[in-house]
Amino acid sequence: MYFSILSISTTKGDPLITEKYQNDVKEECLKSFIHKIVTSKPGCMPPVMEKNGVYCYFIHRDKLLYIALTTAVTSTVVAVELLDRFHHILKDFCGGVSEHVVKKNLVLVHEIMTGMLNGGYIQATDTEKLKAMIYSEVQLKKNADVGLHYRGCRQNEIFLDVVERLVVLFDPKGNLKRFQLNGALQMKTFLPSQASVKIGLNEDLIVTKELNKAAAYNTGVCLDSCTFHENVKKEDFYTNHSLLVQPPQGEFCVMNYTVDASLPPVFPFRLVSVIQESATSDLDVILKLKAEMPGNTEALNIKVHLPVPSRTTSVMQQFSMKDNTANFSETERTVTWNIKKLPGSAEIVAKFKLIDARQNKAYALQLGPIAVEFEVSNFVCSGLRINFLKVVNLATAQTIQRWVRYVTLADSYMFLI
Amino acid sequence: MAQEVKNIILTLSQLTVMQDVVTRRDVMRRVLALMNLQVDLRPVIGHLFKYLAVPDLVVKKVVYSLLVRYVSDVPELTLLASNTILKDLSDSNPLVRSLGTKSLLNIPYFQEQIPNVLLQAFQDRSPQVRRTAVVNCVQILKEPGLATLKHETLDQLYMLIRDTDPLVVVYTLAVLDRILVSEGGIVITRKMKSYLVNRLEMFHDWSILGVTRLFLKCHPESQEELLSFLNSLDEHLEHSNPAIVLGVTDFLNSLLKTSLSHLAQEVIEHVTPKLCFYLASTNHELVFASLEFIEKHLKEHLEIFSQRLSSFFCKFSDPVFVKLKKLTMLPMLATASNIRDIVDELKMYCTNHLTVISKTAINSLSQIVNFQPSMSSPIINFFLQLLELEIKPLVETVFQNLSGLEFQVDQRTEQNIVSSLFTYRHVVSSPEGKCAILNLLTMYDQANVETPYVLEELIEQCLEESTIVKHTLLVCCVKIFLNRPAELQEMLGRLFEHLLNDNSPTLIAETQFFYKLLKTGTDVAQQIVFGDLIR
Repeated sequence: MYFSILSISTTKGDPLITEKYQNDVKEECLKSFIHKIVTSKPGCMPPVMEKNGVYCYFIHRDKLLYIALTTAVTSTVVAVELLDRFHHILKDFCGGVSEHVVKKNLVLVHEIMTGMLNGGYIQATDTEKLKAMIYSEVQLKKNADVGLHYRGCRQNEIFLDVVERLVVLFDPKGNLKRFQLNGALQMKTFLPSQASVKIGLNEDLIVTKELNKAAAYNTGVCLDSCTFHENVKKEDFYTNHSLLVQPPQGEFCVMNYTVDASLPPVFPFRLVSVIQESATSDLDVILKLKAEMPGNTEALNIKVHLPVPSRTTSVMQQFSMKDNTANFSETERTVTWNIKKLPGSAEIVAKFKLIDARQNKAYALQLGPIAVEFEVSNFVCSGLRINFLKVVNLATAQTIQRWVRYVTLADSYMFLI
Repeated sequence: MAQEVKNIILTLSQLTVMQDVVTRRDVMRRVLALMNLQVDLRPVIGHLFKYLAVPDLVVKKVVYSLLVRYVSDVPELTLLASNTILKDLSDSNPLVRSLGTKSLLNIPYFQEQIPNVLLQAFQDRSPQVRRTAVVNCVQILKEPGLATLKHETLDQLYMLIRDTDPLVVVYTLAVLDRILVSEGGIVITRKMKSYLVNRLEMFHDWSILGVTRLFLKCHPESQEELLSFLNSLDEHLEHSNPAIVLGVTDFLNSLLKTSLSHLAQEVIEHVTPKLCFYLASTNHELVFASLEFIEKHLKEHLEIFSQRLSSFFCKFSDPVFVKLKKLTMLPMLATASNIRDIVDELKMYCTNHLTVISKTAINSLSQIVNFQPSMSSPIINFFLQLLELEIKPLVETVFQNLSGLEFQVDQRTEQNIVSSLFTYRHVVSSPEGKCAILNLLTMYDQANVETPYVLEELIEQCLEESTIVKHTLLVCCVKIFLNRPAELQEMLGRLFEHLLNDNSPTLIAETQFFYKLLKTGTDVAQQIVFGDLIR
């Protein structure tokens, strides 16, 4: 299990930095792989390919392409995990990664690359271990919002995000057909290594699959299963709902959880669609979108994607609210309705006239399913709350800034019509 | 670029730069940028060497990596650096020693010194230096001048298996395996194995994968040994690194599946929640890798995975490569109880605007027909509905799948297929699509009045078709001729004539064969063409 070449390139295919660990792969080979990746349709190419006994693994992150080449038999998960960690390490060191950041910090990136792999063999993939091997300073843009950096001044901060992603499918009548909520507690901190963090969760929280308790009798927050990072002491979790974390440097996931059996009390969005065949061969589609989260929250960047019949030549639109836009892509056969923001419990309507959509009698097959994308901050479906966030075992008496955020995202929020 | 090289040389020759950390390191950044653009840096190297004397590790790392890269082009320059390199070998900082060792081992000029330096590095008190020495062994032993070193190095490496640093051990095992590749890799002796098994807890993180990979080479001797593996590797299944979880699971599964299959089952069951978390992750490449992993174990543990069916359904946010993988895996997850859900899911993607996705969904649906004939009529009816959209790639894919069905459909369905075939055949234009139409005509030719007209048309255009279509047309005409000689005779004659003048020798030979066969007599021909199907 060794790698011959590690490289970062832009998504256009311009290489930014390449480190060669073994002599068994030529640099031309890397070039031809990069060419193949950047000329393929975005998102179509799987992260592994092989040519003449050389395996190429790659991941796309933040408009950059991370590539690893090897002639050894490796499992895909090892390679993609290594590349993903590489990306996270860069993020931890530089605050964020972009073409500009890499170009500015070539010496640092080179140091990281030689520290991460030794002669092509994995040596260290966590920020803390690498710190000991790295001597250069990070170069940042002036006034840049750098997030965090271990040598920066923000050692006294903790960020804790509760992120929930929804997979939901409603049938044409508006009944729930499929539901899964994937949540994560994401922590980002550069506290000194002996410090621990105590996180308090809802008092009424239960985990159904662990306790074999029927969710029906519970009125509180219900998670169906969860897993923890190995640095989390979960002994207190089932008794007083608190987690003791020994945070590693940088960003990591404290806990993952899913909810699939116990339904949450509220879904952020409902959508009702009315389809009317008009006299000509056109089709009228009326979409009514209702934000059902509490009034003090707000959804941002809402996009409603409506796949339309292939015969549709153009689309006419009408909205109940200002600032709404819609565009029709003929190649993707989709009408996208864009709503910049929508407060909780608001309702909006859009009317679309799909010209010539009914030219083909089987048009209904191509209509839908509708997918909604959104981002709701300050609201999570499961109702999970961070009751407290404390730092313990801190050597020096310093005040720690703590930031807790909640966000709900649509992973696959679909409506059949 | 040439200007930038000149500028760099100019900056490097200013004495003040050596003292100024910021400029010094910025020059190194510019050098790396040029190196990445594959600019010829030979003119710069001479000016860089004096920087090796600066006690700045950052600079040293860059200069050394440049040196190793260009050494074969400018061997005389190595002389300039040799003093520093040799001095660095005894530096007090292990990182410096490691850098020096790495450079020296990679520069042919130092070949004479390599045996001593290697020995010294193997015994260095810093694991960092020992690791560097070990990983460079493969390369060194490939040098023709150093072949004599092999025995000694191997002895040294075998000793390092007992090193206190887990990475040194893992690197040594991997390197030994590569050096001995012509002999089938490293042989794990019983002694070595028991030594490693007793120390399994020292391998954290990635290193455990290096050890387990090697254990796969030798069969465990007893059930006790198997169980001890299970006990000591248990905790790795809880690791936050998915590569370790999947690697260890894979290892345990292949150890246990023959003799203790119920435990293998338990291991997979234990990691399934984790796998489902991976599948729900926003790290798309991890999702793909996990799907690959599951695909590998799907047959053995179908029951476990089919219960988690919803994790395999496509999500809106999935990139195309993940959707395709999921769509191809869904038919493999089918059981009698979940088959309807799978069919519903696949149907949603048959009209996707991306042809790759719709094709894959259709292919998967027809696999389900072959797996579960009870689902055949709803799926086939859905296929026929899809034809009505008259979208070329869809129609072609549907016809191809219909012609590939592995079982007899009922008469009503057959009629529907045939009538759709005549209605939508004009949509098809690809060779594969045309072949599918021909195959369907042969399969379902029930004395249909229209068949001769379709064939007539195809024979007319036959000259422009690709070889595969001509071949299919030939077989199809011969088969139908045997059933309906009167209608086809004249047409077949014309086809023979066309094909005998073809460019493809195989096609000509095939035509001649059929001609002679038919001349011999239709009875024999029937038997040969249809085999036992008719009799």
